[in-house]
Amino acid sequence: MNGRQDWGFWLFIAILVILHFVLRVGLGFGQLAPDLLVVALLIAAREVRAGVAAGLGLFLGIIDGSLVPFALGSSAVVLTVLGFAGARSRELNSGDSLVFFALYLFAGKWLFDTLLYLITGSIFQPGASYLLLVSPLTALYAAAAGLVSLSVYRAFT
Amino acid sequence: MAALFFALALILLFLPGAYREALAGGVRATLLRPVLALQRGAIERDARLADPARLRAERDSLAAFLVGQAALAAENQQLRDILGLGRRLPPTFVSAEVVRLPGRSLEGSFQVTAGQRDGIRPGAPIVAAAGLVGRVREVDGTTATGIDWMNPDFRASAMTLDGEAYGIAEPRRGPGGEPMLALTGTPRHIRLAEGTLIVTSGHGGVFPRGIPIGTIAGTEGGGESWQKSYLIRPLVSPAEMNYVLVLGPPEPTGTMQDLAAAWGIRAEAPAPDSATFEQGGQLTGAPSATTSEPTTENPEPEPSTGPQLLGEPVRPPPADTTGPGAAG
Repeated sequence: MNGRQDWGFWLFIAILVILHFVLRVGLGFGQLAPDLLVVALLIAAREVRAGVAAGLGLFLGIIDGSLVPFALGSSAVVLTVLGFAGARSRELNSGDSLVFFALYLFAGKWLFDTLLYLITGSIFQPGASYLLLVSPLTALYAAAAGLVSLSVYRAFT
Repeated sequence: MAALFFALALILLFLPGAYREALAGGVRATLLRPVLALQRGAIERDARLADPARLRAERDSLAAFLVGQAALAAENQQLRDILGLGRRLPPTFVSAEVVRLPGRSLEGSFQVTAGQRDGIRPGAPIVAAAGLVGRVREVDGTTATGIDWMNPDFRASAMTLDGEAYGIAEPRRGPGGEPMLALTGTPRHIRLAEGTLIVTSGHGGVFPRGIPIGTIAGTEGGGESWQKSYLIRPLVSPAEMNYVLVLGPPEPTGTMQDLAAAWGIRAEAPAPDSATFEQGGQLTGAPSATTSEPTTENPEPEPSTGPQLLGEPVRPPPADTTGPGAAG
């Protein structure tokens, strides 16, 4: 994965972000569509410095939070932290293993849901059962979508 | 550099709501504009295909209602002209759809597919066929954001249908985690029976009087203080918050606007002894014989000029011209 910071890579990231909003918001698929925003941030974070990844997370968080009433800051904070953590994960493993990458995407998405829950926890949130039952499934879905999109990207480069 | 971005994100998190919404509105109007336009188109397409049988039934009900109402409205106007009374204008409303973003949205908040261009203003009440949904918080050009009764910030001044007990309705978690409301601050000496209908009281000017909220489901807490709280089972469940009406500004009549007639509900005569109040009223679901029979005790019933909700089949009024729309 390392060393692909050319325009093609950033175009790939931009396509993932656009697809996320088009599928989830524009076409109204909601959670039927994978969380490609988090996938895009996690993939990009592996390629850039921690500061840049955090900045990208902040930017994507502002866009994402703008869609949700009264929740602008929470998405921004969570995606900033996630971008930073994603960049730092290179210190754990900098290889190209697909298994590691799948685990990375799965853990990243789960971490995202957990942090978002902790920050936005309000009286009617679904609670810990959501994090233990639904969130792992959405994380699995995001990891699968991330691997598929990465494979498509690799096929074209 | 990462610390700087993190600090910026934290500032955003703790920024006052108005500034945050201004920034979010800017992003929605620029970067997200194409996505939101696509979303609006998709929702309109879905609505066109949604349940044609139900829509046809509603259209037929409305047509039948209007045919029956025309003569009554004309007679009402003539009588008012004779008496020198102004015409009571029905409140305006805008029909819209509620859009939620699963997985991201805060509980109890949503977007509405109508905005400033449609005449929606911040604070406007949002209702569904069964009753109160919530209110508008922020308004953009073509969309608005609102909160429903599940939102922690939701409060509504409420009362029993006959006005015997007043209180504040606010969100609670009921038995088994069920989202409910609580009627707080009611006098301790008044006992509300299960099933008692609770409506908005109109106090505070946020919601007009008479919008059904829910029915009493039981008491909350031990009631050790001088006030009592009751759990309310809301009439509009989260699953029913798809198609809504956003009410316009109140009519300039100088009197308190009461929308109870629009839901076919009417306060029964107050109990002679308020200390043993048992039943506030019954929700009939549609205009019926119980809504307003002019009698000597009630010589001037509310006219049914309120919004006739599209989601609720509306029956034509009885042929008797002394019915709900005959006087006002």
